[in-house]
Amino acid sequence: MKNLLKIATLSAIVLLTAFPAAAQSYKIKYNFETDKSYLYDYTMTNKMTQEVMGNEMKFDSELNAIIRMQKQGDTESGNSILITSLDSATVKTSSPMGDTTMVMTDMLGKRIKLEISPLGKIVTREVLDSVEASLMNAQFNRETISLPEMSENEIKPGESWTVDKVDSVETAGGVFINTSKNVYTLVGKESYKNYECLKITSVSELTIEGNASMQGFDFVAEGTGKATGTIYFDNEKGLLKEMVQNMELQFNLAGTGQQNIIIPITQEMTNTYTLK
Amino acid sequence: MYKNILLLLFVSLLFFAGCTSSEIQTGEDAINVSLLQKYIFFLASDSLMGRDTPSPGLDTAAIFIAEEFKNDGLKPINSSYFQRVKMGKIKLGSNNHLAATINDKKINYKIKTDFTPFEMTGNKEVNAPVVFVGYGIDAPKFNYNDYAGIDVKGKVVFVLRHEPEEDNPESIFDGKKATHYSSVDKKVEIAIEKGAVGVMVIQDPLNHSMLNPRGFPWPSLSKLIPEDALPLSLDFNEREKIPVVQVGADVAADLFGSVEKLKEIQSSIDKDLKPASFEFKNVLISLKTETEFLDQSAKNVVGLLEGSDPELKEEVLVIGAHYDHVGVMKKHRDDEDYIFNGADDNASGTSCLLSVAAALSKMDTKPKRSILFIAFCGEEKGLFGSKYYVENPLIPLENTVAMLNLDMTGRNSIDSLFIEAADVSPELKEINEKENEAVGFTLLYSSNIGSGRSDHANFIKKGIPALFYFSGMHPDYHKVSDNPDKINYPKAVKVAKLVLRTAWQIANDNKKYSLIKK
Repeated sequence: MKNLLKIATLSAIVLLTAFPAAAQSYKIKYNFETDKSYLYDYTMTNKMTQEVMGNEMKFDSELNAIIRMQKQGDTESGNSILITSLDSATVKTSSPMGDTTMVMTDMLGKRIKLEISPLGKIVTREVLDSVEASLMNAQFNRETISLPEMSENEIKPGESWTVDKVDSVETAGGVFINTSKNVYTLVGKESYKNYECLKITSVSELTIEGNASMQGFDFVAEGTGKATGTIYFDNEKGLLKEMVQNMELQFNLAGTGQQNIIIPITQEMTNTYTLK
Repeated sequence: MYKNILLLLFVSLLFFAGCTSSEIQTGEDAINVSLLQKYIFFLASDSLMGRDTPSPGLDTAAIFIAEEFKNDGLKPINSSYFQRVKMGKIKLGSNNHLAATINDKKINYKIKTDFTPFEMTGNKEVNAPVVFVGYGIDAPKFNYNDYAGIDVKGKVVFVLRHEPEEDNPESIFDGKKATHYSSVDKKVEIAIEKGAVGVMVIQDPLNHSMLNPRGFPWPSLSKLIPEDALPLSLDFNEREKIPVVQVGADVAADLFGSVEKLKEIQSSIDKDLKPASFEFKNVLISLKTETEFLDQSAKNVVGLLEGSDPELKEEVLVIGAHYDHVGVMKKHRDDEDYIFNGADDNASGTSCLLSVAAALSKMDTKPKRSILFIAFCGEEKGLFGSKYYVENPLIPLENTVAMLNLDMTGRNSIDSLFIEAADVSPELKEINEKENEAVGFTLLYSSNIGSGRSDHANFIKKGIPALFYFSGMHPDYHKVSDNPDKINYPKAVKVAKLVLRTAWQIANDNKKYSLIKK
């Protein structure tokens, strides 16, 4: 009987210690400091597989970059004006044609101006130094870090919020529309590299659709994808400390003109952003 | 007497050498700028609308080339200057179904949601038991066989995509790189060899999160992909075809109990590299796939210069050039040039080929070996004309001693010329270098050996030594600006003369040439 009481007491203590943490709710928001630069180590590993007539070709690549985000100031509505650019970028590729390493000097220092709400939503985007839009580098006319968007409400551990995003990227005489439905879940508070951080997980469903035309070659792309992520957010300082995203995207590229082709492509990516 | 014999022999040799020298001179004299211009300006004219494969413009070019062959005294083969290259588009038919009867309960699956046929699928219906055969690989070189100890004859096989230990750098299957056993095509080939009547493929769930039944992205099942994006493919019966589909997670769950169960099995295969194949009990698969072949055949143009030696004439040198290009730009402004005339690619090579034929027709002495001239169609679609030829040769390939390929031979500096595949064809390289002494190019040897850049690659794959004559890349490549006015005609003349001289040497030789396999 005494033992049972002990167990019940112990259980109650465990629950009591757990409950306050679980019960605490958080208003999660960004808080960048004006004139301060934030540097993120960015690594993207990418496995791409193309299929042609039942045969597969694999292309592996790894991008290592340093992303710079500098806050210029605030708007009247309290949004942050951020300038993002790349300080360095190196790509290693491995393919059936051989292995190469490229330093992407053309991309360095090309600035994108963003107006970002305290929740991380992009309100406006302005390309200050454009990179010639081609299939290869269209994405570099976009910010190279996509900040997770936080909930408008206070969130308790275990609770989720959903963010729908639509982004259109102009490239090679066409437009590609990317959509994502992102469900974020606050896991709780955790110590991450000696900082007390909020741990957030994410699950996303992605679609891509679009068309473009280059030198008489007209093509369309359509596909779907899934992503999962883990985010460590220092809510006291309002800073993203680390974000890891794993993404799998299956899309089909179909072209008419000089060649008629339909190529199924699979991309499996891991993106890691770590605040320096 | 002996002295007289020697003298006679010497005089004879002088006479022969003089004859050969003057013969080749006669041939070379027939090749000139105006001849090249005549050919290139016609083949690259707007009226031929970019010579797409297939197209009326390509047919017109084929008739023109055949007429030239005839005028030059080349003979048809099998009474024709044309070889029909059977090609077309494979469209998904309307009768496709997949059903599983599990313990007497029938489950019908939906196309695209649960299963999608691959492009290599056959027009067949099968009703058969189903056998799980892991990755569907039998690779003796890796001492790995998913089919060991299991009979799949007359059965459908269920296979995982890719290969064991896909993400392990130490994997026996070439680390993280994919070997050819990873491809669906190879898995199907193995399944057919083992006697399977159908193949169900699933994305391997251990390494990939998306298990949707992707198969081939057929336009008829797609929202955006236009029907004309379907690629051309050759139609020759390379092998038997059986139904091949990719299935999704629901089908796997019905067969295995759950996707997690399949993951466990995959995990054990990866760990032990031992087969975990088994036949599903009380499961029957009903699988039918249907495709429709839309014929879009085109023609290779062939002309034979028969050899003069009673024995050596059975041997043949092939001189080839593709005469197709990429057609027209569909979306364009009214005031914009929209025709890809392909003057350099490859009206220039075709014209050099015609010039060599014309030159040989002017020469009184005919070469000992035969020379087969082939203008290939479909090169721009994937070397189709030459691939079809080597699979369906008009003269047995074992009698084909060498191949000289001309592709893009009219641009850049008159001083230099790229020769590709020379490193795998050493004797041909030597002959060509010797003949070049009279022509005067600086020959540039690319390291891009015999690879799939042009039609010679298909001959090399069949063990035939070859040389590829190429004047180099330029900014007008595959652009509407690749026009006859950009051609360096004196250079094209030099290329044709070099090919004539090299061909003459090969065709008067009696040696067999080697091909170095790399």
